[in-house]
Amino acid sequence: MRCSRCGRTWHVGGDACPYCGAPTEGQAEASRKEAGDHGGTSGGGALSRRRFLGGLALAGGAAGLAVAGLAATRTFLSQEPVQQVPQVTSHLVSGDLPVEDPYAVAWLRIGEQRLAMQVQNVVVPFKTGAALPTVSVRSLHNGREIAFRLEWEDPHLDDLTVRTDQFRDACGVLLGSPTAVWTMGSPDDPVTILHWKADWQRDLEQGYQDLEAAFPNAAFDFYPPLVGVARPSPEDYPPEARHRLPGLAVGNPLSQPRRPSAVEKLQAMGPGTILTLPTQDARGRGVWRDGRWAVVLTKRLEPSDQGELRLEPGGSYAVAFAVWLGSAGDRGARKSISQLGTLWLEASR
Amino acid sequence: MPRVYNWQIGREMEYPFEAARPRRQAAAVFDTNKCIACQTCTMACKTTWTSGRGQEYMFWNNVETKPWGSYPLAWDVRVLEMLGVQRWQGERYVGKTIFEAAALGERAVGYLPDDLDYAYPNRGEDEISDSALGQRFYLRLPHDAWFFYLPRICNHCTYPACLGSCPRTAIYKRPEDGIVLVDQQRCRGYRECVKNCPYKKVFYNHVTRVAEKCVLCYPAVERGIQPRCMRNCIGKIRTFGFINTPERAEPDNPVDFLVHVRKVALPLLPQLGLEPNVYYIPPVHVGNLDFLRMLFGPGVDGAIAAYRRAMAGEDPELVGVLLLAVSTDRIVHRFKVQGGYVYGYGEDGSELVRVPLKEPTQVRDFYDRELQAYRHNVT
Repeated sequence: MRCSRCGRTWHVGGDACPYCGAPTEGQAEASRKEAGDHGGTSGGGALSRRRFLGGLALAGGAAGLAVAGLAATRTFLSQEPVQQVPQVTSHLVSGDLPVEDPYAVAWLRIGEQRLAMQVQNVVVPFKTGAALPTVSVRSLHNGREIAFRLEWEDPHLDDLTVRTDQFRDACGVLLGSPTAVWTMGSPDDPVTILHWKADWQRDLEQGYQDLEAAFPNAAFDFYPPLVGVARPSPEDYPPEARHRLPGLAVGNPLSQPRRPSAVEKLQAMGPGTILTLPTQDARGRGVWRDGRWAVVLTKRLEPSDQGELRLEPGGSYAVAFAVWLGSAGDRGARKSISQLGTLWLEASR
Repeated sequence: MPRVYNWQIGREMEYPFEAARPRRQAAAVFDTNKCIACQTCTMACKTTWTSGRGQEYMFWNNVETKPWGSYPLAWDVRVLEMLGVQRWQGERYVGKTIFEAAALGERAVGYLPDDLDYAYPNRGEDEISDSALGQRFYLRLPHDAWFFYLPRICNHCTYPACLGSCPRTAIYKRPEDGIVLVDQQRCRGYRECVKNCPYKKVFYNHVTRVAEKCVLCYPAVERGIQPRCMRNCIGKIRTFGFINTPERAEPDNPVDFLVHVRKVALPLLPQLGLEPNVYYIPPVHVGNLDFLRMLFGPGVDGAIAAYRRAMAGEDPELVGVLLLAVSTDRIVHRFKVQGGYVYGYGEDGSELVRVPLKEPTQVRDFYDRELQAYRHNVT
C-alpha cells in the first residue's frame, strides 16, 4: 500500500500509514483487489479479531495476510502463548533483510515468540514498578546479516533525553556464546549487545535534538566563543572550544551530534561493563504507532571487532532481550528483561 | 554492603564500596558569618566551567539564603523528609544514613529533580526566618528573626553517594587529592548520581546528555593553586587546604586546626553519611539553634562558643587562621601565629603570605596644618 501523505509503501494493510499515521481512506478497496489478484482468501475490513486469527492459520502465506485489511497491523502482535525461556529461530531468507521496515511482509511470513519479561532485580539498581509483561520476537538472517524484530506495548512515546527527567524508550538484544551462563557476560565469555535507542533514531531522522527540543523558549546572549550565532549546534563549536561540551570533546558516544545508526553495538563482560565497540555497523529502525513499538535491529554475522561474537548459520547461541520504558524511568539496569535462552540460525531451508 | 568508618557520625556505616581514603583529601572551610552572597564565587565558577551549551542551569557553586533558599528547589528538606527522623546521641548519630535507609534494589535514598526544581536558583534570597513585624523583633544576639548565606559546592565526600550510585563506576575519587570526578567518556547518562547525591551537586548536561559536576579546579590544585571560587571570594570566607582524619590531625594545618583542633567548622548534614569535605563555621547570630544542629550536627554549640571567644580577642590563633583565608592564591599547608602576624606556608615550607592580626592604622589630625585644610578622612 502507498500512503497518500508521505508516499511510503508498506506490505500489510491497515487503517493508517505505519510511518506517518495518515488514514488510508479509499485504500481498502485496493487492498481487497490486490489480495484477489494474489489468490488469497477474501475477508474485508469488518473481519473480527478471532476470525482473522483463524484465517491466519488457514492462509499460511503473506498474500493471505495482506487480505486482513483494516486489522492487520494491529494484530501483527500475535496472541501466541507466552514462553518463559527464549527459543528463537533465525529464519534463513535470501536477499536483503527488511532493516528499515518492521512491518515488511518478510517479517510476517515467519512465526514469532511472545516472551515473558521480568524486572531486572539481580543487580542494583532494580527496575521500579511492574515489568513490561511480554515482548514479541522474530528473527531473520541471510547468511551475511542477522536481524531481530522486537515488538511491545508502550502507550508513551519517549524519544527525547534532553531534560534531566527524560529517559528514552529502548530495546536490546544480547548475544553470547553457547556457554554463556550469566546475562551480561563475563571477562572470560564476553557478550555482544545490540541496543536500539528511540532518541538516537529521532536524532537521525530530525537532526540532533538540541536544547530547544525541550526548551523551545530558551533565551541566551551568547555561548562563548560563539558570538552572534543564533541557536548554535554542537558542531558550531570550533575544535579549540569543544571543551565547553566535555562529553563531545572526549568522544563519548552519547554526546555525538552525528551518529551512524540508532543501534549501538556494545560489548559487555558483566554488569556495569558495557563498552561501545569501535566499529559501529549495526543498523535498525523502530516504528511507534497505536501505542506499541516495533523495532528491527541487525548486525553482521561476521565480527567487525575483536571480542565481538561470530555467528554462523546452523549455530546455536545464547540470547536475551531487554526493553526500557522511558516513561517509567527505565535506564541502565532499570529494565525489563527476558531470561537467557537459545538462538538458532537456520542453516538451510 | 561493606562497612566503613565515618568519623563525622562517630560510627561505622554501610557504603556500597570498601573504604579507600585518598592519600590526602582536599577540603575547605567556609565562614558563613562573613559571606555576603555577592555570588562572585558563583560567577567565577560559571564563567570558568559551565558557560557551554547545555550547562545553562548548572551552578556547581551557588550561594543560597537559609532558611528558605535552596537550589535546586527544597533539595535539603526533601532528602531529610525521605530519610525520616534523624537522632544523635551525643556525637554519635544513631539514625540511618541515606545508604542505610535505601530501599531494596536502591543504593541510597534520593530523588531526581525536574526542570522546575532548577528554575529558581536564588529562591528565598534575603528572606528572614520569621515575620519582622512582631514585637519581639529588636536587635540583640542571637537574632529572633534571622537569615544567613550558605555557599555550596560539591563536597568531594569521603563516601560520595554519586560514586556509590553509579552502576558502571564512571565516577571516581582521585587517590592523590580526593577530588571526585565524573569520567566524561564513561558516563552513559543514567542520572543515578543526580538522583542520589543528596546535595544535588551532580548535573545532567542537556546537550551532551551525560552528568557533570564540580571538578574543584583540579588543574589549579595540581599546581598548588586554590580553586577559582575560593580565590575570588570577596568576603574572604574560604579556607582551602587538605584535611586529615581526627586521629592524624596536624595542629599547624589550617583546615585541621579549624575542624579538629578548635572544632569551629562543621560538615553540612553529616547525618546523611557521606563524610563531606566542605566545612562550615556556623552563623553566630541565628536564634534557632535546632535549625543549625539539623544542618551542621551536634557540634554547633561548641563551634559558636569557640568563634565567639575568637571574636572577643581570646583566641589569636583562631583569628590568625581565619585571616589567612583568601590571603593568597596558593594553597596554604601550614600556618604559624607569632608576633602579631599569621604566616602561611606552602607544601615545601616556604612562606607564602604574612598577614597582620590587626590591620595597622594611623590616626591623623582632623586639621592639616601644612595644607591648611580639614581632612575628610582621618584614618
